Amino acid sequence: MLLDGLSFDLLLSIALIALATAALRARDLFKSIVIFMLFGLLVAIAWVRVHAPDLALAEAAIGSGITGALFLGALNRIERKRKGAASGRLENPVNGSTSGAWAVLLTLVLTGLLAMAVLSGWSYSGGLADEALSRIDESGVVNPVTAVILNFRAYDTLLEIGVLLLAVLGVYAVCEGQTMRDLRRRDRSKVLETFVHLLSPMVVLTAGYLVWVGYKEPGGAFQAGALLGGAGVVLLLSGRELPLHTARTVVRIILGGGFLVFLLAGLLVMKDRAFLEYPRASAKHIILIIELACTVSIGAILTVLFSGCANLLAAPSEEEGP
Amino acid sequence: MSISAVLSYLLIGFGLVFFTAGTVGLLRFPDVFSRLHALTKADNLGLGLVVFGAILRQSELTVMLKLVLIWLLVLIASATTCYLVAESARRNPDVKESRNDAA
Repeated sequence: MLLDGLSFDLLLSIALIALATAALRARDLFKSIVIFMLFGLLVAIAWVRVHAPDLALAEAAIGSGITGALFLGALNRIERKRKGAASGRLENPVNGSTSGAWAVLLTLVLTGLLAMAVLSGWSYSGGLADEALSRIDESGVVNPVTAVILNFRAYDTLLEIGVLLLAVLGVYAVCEGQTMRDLRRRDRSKVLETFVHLLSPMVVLTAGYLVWVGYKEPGGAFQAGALLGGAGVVLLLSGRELPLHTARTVVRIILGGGFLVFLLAGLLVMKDRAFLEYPRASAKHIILIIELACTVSIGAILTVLFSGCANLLAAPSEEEGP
Repeated sequence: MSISAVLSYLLIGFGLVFFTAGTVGLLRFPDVFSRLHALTKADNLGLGLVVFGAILRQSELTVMLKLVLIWLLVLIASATTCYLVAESARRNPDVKESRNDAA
C-alpha cells in the first residue's frame, strides 16, 4: 500500500503537535479556538488508530464539537462586553508570554520522563482489562466499554452525570437576576433555518441509534447526548427560541432526569444486593433505561451550558418553538 | 487489476486532485469569497469522487449507501456553512481582508 499504517501515524503525530503549537501561538483567540477544534478532530482519528472508537466518538462530539462551541460562545460574550474598550479581536494570552514558555518546558519534561519510563523496560500489565473482559457476561451488555462505564464502574458515571447537573445548576444560579439577552438574530437566515430543519430530525435519529447500539458497539449516552447538545447549539444559533427556563416543570425533569433515573435504578436494586449492582437478568434493560434518560439530560444540559443566560429566565412566552 | 479497481483508483485520484487544488486555493486566494469557492469545490466534487471511488471497493450495499449518505450530508452542511461565511463577510467588510498571520 502506498500509505501504510506507520507513515499515516507519523503524519498524524506531526500534525497533532503542529496544531497544538499553532493553537497556542495563534495571535487571536478566535483562530486559536478554531485550531483547537481541528486538533480535537485529529485526536479523534488518533483514538481510532489505537482501536478506541468509543473514545473517538466522544472526543469528536464533546472534545472538539461541544467544547469548541462553548469556547466560541464565551469568546463572543467577552468580546461583546469589551466592545469599545479595545478594537479588534482578543489576543491570545498564551502567545509570546512566559507562561507559554513554561508550559512548553513542562510538557517537554513530562515527555522526557515518559520516554525514560518506557525505555527503562516498563511493561504494560493489562490493568483491569482482563478481569473486566472475563466477567462481561454478567454485565448485561456486549460492548466492554459500556459494560465498564454503566455497570462495573457505574458509580463513577453516576457522579459524572451529577457533576454535569451541578454545572448546569451553576449556570442557572449565575443567571438569576440578570437581564435576559435577546438571542434572536435580527438577520435570521432562511438558509440556516432550512438546514436546521433538515438536520435536527437526523440528529435525533442518530442519537437514538447511538444509545441503542451502545450495548454491543461503540456508542452510548455521552456520545448521543453530545449529538443532541450539538443540535441544541445549532437550533440556538439559527435564532430559534428554546424554552429552557426552570419555571417549566418539564425542563426540570429533563435536566435532572438522567441523574434521577440512574440514582433510582441504583437504589431499587438494593433490596437484595449492593448499590448499583444490577441483577444479571435485567441488567441490559436497566442500562438501556439509564442511558436513554441520561442522553436526554446530557443533550439538554449541554444546550443550556451553551446558551449562557439567554432563554433561561423568561417566563413561558406566548408561543413555543415546535 | 479489475476494471472496477482501476476506476476506483482513478476516481479517488481525481478526488485528491480536487482536495489539493481546494487547499492551495484556500491558502493562496486573496479574499473570503474566492477562498470559499476553492474550498467548496473540494468538499463537493473532491469528496464525491473519493466516495464513489470507495464505493467501488465495497461489496455490501448498506456500506455503499452509508458512504453516499455521508457525501449528501457533507454537501448540505458545506453549502450552508459556505453561505453563512460569505453572508457574514458581506456584512462585515473588515473580515474580508486576508489575514495571513498563521503561526
